[in-house]
Amino acid sequence: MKRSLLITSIGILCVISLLSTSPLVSAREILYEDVVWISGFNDPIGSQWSTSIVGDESDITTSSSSGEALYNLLGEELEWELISPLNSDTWTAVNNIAYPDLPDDYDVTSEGFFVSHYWGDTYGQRSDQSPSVHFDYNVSMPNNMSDYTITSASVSAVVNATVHANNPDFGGIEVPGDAVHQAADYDYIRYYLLISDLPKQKVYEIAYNQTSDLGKDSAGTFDQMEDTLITTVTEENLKFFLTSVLNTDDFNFTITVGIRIFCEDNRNNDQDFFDEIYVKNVSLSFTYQKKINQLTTASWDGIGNSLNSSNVLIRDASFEFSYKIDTPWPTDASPNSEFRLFVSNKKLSETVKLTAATDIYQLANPDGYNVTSLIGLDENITVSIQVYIGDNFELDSPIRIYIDDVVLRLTYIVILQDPPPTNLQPYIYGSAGLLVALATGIGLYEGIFKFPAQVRTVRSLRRNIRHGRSTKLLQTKDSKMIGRNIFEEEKRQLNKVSSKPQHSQPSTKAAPKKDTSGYKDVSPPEEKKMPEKKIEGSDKSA
Amino acid sequence: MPRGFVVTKWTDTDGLIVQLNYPEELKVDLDDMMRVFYAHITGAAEAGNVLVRLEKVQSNVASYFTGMDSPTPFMINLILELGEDPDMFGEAVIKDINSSILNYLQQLGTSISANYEVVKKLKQYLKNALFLLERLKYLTKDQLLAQIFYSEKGRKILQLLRDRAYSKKQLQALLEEALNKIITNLDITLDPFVKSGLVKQDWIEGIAEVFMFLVADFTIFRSPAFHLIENAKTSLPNAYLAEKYLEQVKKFFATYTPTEDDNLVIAKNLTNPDKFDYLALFRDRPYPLNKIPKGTDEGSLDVAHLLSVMEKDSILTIIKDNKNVEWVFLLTDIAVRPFYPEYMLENIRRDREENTIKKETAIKHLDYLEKVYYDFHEKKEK
Repeated sequence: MKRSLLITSIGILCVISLLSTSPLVSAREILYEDVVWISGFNDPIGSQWSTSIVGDESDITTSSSSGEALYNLLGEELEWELISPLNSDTWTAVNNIAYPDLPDDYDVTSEGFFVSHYWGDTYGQRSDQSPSVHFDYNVSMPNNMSDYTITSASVSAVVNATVHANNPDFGGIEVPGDAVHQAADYDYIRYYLLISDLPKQKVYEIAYNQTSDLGKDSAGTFDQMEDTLITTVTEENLKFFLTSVLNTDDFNFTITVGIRIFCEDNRNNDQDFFDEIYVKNVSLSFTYQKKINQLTTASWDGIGNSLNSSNVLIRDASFEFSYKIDTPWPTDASPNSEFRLFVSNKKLSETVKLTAATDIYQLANPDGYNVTSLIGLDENITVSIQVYIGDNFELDSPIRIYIDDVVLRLTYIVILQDPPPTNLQPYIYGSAGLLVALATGIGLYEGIFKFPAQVRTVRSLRRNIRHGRSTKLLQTKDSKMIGRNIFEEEKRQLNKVSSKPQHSQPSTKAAPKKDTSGYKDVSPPEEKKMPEKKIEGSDKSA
Repeated sequence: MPRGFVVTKWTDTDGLIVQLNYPEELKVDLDDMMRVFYAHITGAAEAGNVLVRLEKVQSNVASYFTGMDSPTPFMINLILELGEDPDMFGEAVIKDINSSILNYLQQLGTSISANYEVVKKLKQYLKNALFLLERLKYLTKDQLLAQIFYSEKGRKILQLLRDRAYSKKQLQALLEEALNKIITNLDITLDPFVKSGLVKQDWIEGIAEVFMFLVADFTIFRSPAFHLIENAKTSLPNAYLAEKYLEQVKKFFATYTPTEDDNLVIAKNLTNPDKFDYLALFRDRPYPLNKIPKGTDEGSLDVAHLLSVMEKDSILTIIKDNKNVEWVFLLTDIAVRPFYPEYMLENIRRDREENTIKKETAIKHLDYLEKVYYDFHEKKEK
């Protein structure tokens, strides 16, 4: 469009100068210097300005205050902690799918998660040697966790138990060191905490404890394991597991307190009493920070009047603004975030890194940006100051970026023509018609015909979709057909090359153009003939 | 870089034991190996793959289990750095490596001296495999496209995106449904698509999700090695060989038609960095079998086996000259040709008419299709 404008402008000038040199036509030029075309900001901001956000709208908003325009980055750090009353309404007892037998007794009490069980190798061979129970609690997060990163996490629990050890009447638990008839794994209790997604497709163990000598005969009739802290996974792994289970639906996950008992048949008439087993003081907590997404942008857009290309020449245009920030920009986390500037929807090559912002207003460019080439005529002149997020990063608290003192200044010339004498009208109309035809032709070329046919189709389709118009079926080739055509074209090339006559090797008199030294006869002399070489493994599959 | 391999096996008498680890200085914690084993057997203890995060050694493990039903239940564990995922290397490559390791393991018997030789060869193989995996991070554009084609996930993603643009979340859900498995890290799977320029990813105004837009497509097929054919026309390396070579090429391409199965074979060759090196070598000229230049990792690569596989796949051909010297020629080159996806225009138009996609999605996709057209146009002119 610039070219058409230039040619049209030259055309206008030619006609004007022609007319002005003749005594029949004259024109005047008026210079307008440093006219403030767009400025900001007043209080209130004014209808000249609007805002737009592209990307994750939960990351950034815009606002104004006291004649300043703001971009608000919505960083935050939140904490979640397991606070759940210990009762069977909040914790649901369910089967452990891998060990579906439930223990004799299990409950959620104010003291904790309780299990007790008896197994005896008597009275018809009871088979509940591996009972287990899970207590599930479903967590629903208040935030969509896909927009947050878990930055710290911790888990703990306390376990204890009382069992029959060396009971003269009823036997007891067998552990290594006890007298037994046979033993492999002995008797034990396994405590564990799991987290999982709701469909239980991802299940992770985050803490466990397994007894190894609880119930030793040397303890006497009963043996006790005092309150013991459960062994937990590292914080890094806990964060990873939490992230993974929340990834399924972004809000929900399940915490499971699990207890499994193993009663091995260690003797004739073996009897194993697990009197009281407790898991208590279960705690799980984690902190999470807001994810700020790369490619998100927020803009303050200003609109000004238009200038007519038929009688205006732009001499100079400059653009400037000031900015500041309320807290230092996280440089390490997001070194690439920046201000991007647009004039008449064209992007300036210069940008301003947010890492340069301080808590005091500073000019983005002390000399102002020269935007003369970006000014568009015959349409509203616009400016846009965009904050562009250049990296994915976490932000634990809000950041406010301020802009003010936005000014777009123009210096331009307006050309005014005196009205021509009446008897010159045919010439005027003729010249105007010629100019219109020239501009139309150039405009059509610039707007449509200079683009390849495929691009014209894209542009036309886009225009129709933008304006909600119906569109006709497009005849296009599918992927397979295009691929086939490309292959056929290469095959045709082969046929072309193959049909060229074969040449013999160049005459030894002529200097060889190709270095054929690599093609020397490398076969050994006859008397030292090498055995025939085969490529080994040629029958092996790939 | 992958840290190494640990091979464990389940025995009835001793439980889980470590069969072998490479490199030997790689620390192996049996508790961690038990966790991996547990991850396998919490299902139905069938053969299969799992990805497990290990706490003590702070690494990811891509583990293949032969299954409790196999004669000797082996687990082949590839130890990766925390940020690594087997998808970075391509599931097919990992599968091939596991298969090769299993071949070696199945040769182990009761003879100590025989086992020593097998283990020695296996360790050499593992060394090469680690080097291969490291090289797989640095593939050319053609290799990235071949990797996409060779991977089941890659082909499915391409099929979906050929229809319309999807958000990453939608794509993940469709992929999991189609393949009936959980996709742990979609970004790694999409990485070759972005790096090769097949897709652009961007926001749509009003939607808080990143969308994937297909802006280029590609086809893969065998193509003639034109440079060699031109040389053969001038009787290089000699008239006898040139004539034989041209006959073979003509005969091959007279009946050749690209098929999906054959394309998978050539894509597999292209994604292997060692085979790619030899492809590039033989594109330039043929070599006598005993004069083929060695690579940088001299001595450790089984070149003979590599070339024999490429011959079996009809990439290379061996021709004896009139003095009985065997020469290796490139019979078919592998062409990976990107092209402009003009069918997307009709798909976008149709989806917009049926209100399947939002106006903003359609416009953004068309913006990208307009921009990339000029890239294709320039390349075509060049």
